[in-house]
Amino acid sequence: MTRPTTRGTARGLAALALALLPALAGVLALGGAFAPAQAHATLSSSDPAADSSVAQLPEEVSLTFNQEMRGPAYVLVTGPDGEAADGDPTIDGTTVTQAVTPGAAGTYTIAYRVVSADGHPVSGEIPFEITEGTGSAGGSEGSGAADGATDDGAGDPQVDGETIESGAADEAAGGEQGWWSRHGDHVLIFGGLFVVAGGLLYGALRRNPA
Amino acid sequence: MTGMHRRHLLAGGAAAIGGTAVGWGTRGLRSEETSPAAVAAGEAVTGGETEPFHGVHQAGVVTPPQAHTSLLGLDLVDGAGTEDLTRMMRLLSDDAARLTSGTGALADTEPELAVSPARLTVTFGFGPRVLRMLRPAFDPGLQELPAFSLDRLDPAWGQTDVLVQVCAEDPVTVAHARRMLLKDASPFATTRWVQEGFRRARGTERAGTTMRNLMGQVDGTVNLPVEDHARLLWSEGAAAAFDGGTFLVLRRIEMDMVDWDRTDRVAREFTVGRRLSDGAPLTGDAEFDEPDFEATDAVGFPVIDPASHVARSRSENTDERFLRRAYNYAMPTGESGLLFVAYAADVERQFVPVQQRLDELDLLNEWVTTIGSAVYAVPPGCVEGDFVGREMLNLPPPTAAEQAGAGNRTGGRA
Repeated sequence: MTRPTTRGTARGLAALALALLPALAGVLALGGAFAPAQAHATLSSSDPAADSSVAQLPEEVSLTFNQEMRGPAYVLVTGPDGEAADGDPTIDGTTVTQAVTPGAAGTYTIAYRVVSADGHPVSGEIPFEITEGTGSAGGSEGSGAADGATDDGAGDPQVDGETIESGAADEAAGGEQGWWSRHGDHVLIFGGLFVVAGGLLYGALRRNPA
Repeated sequence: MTGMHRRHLLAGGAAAIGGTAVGWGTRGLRSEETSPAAVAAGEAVTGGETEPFHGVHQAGVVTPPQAHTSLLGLDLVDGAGTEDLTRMMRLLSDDAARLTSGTGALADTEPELAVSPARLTVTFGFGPRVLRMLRPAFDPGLQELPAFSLDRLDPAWGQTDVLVQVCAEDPVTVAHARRMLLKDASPFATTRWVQEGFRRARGTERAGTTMRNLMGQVDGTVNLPVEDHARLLWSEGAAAAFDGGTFLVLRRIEMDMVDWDRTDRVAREFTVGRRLSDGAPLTGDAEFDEPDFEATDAVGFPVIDPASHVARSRSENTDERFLRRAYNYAMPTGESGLLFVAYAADVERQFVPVQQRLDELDLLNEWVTTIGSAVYAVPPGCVEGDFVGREMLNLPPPTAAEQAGAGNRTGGRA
């Protein structure tokens, strides 16, 4: 009684595993077809650059993306004196610029959210240092920055140069991180499926050596 | 199991006894598969359900939306005046009264198609040109909509003199009612367009579920609750002959599905400000949660973008709301979109400001374009024996004899 049942199960597993493989190929093909939609805009560079040190705050900061940006764009530039952004940002192709008012030395952060041409919001933070500045703000460079930032009005980002997470810094570093963030989940999903299918096939063959 | 046994027995018997038994056997199996008991247990037949045509208000406005609609845009023929309009409205009102109750129209050539009204409603509206014709006796204050910068209006879907909104749960019922109405309207008016729309078939989802448009979004979450109908839906005091009427805004909104296909889920939800899965605001857990426009993300920006559809369509002025009763459309040629149908007591005060905001800025505008636009005054309903629009045409109410005649289904046709 038990032997035919076992053989039946094993055959079933083998059939399942074999059936899974073409399905998997199909999924992979679809993944390939959809891949362009996954390639969202990312920040290519900024001025000032992330984690850089510059003597004075420029008259405007700019963000350059790897794709055309559609907007709307929001750019907040927060420093020891609070909000330094002046007026609304402008979008020109892949570049978003934001006028700023000069401020004291210290840690600044550009927080941005821009909608790209594919409708996807791209957001992040870019910390940088102003070493000389206008010298008007209370507190010296570095240590006073966090205090200054907390004076911001409601709705402004809480900026702390130490706690900037991977998103901003990595994106600002360039397109290098892009591949894994775009394809990492594919690799994990398809890899997992392959392991499952292989396991089923192996199990089936073992149980039914004939 | 018993079915299988019986089948085997029958097959065996057929083989043993020969030809005549085969016929008996298959007939037995067939009747088992479609027995009345199985039908009764499987699904209820609802084609006999009716929505009353007569009443203070016209049906088809607050009526829970049926699965199918056919909007008929009619233009009065050259030289047609109020007398012709009166004759047409008498005829069409009579047709509507009969068809919605499950009776064939007078001289109905296919009365069998009328026996399942399936909640049929027929709603009439008059366009601005007709209303100008009725002045100065009657003026409910309807204006054409202002121009919106993003509209790409095709006259093929434009303003007409008369609108007939036909809705039912069943497409055959809609087709038959449409044919009868257009046939009787033909001496007085030409058909400029027919706009077909659909929602989920009855029984597919629980009744009252907010519809989804063809972009997959839950569409129509913010609607006008019953307690606001007296103030924001039904006209009162604008014109004596219009009390109990309302205004209808029809916008044919085309969706760019090719580009929408390239837009991923994050972008789609960001665009609207609601989750695709259940229509909940991005700051909430359920469809009817109030959006929190103050909530911010990790970077400090609003979770619901100020340019998103939900943020832009929202107003602090609670009068800027209206009853939404939209339908999807999909053309054989591939175009698809939404037949946006809204009802309001005052279009200029309730609808126009919202549309102006969306025209100014709405992330969704990247994928939607209004290609047809029209506005109609929807007269109040009528009593049995009367016809829709009589008060607006400044005619006396029906006599007792006329009403009695309508009861016997003999009158009404001059």
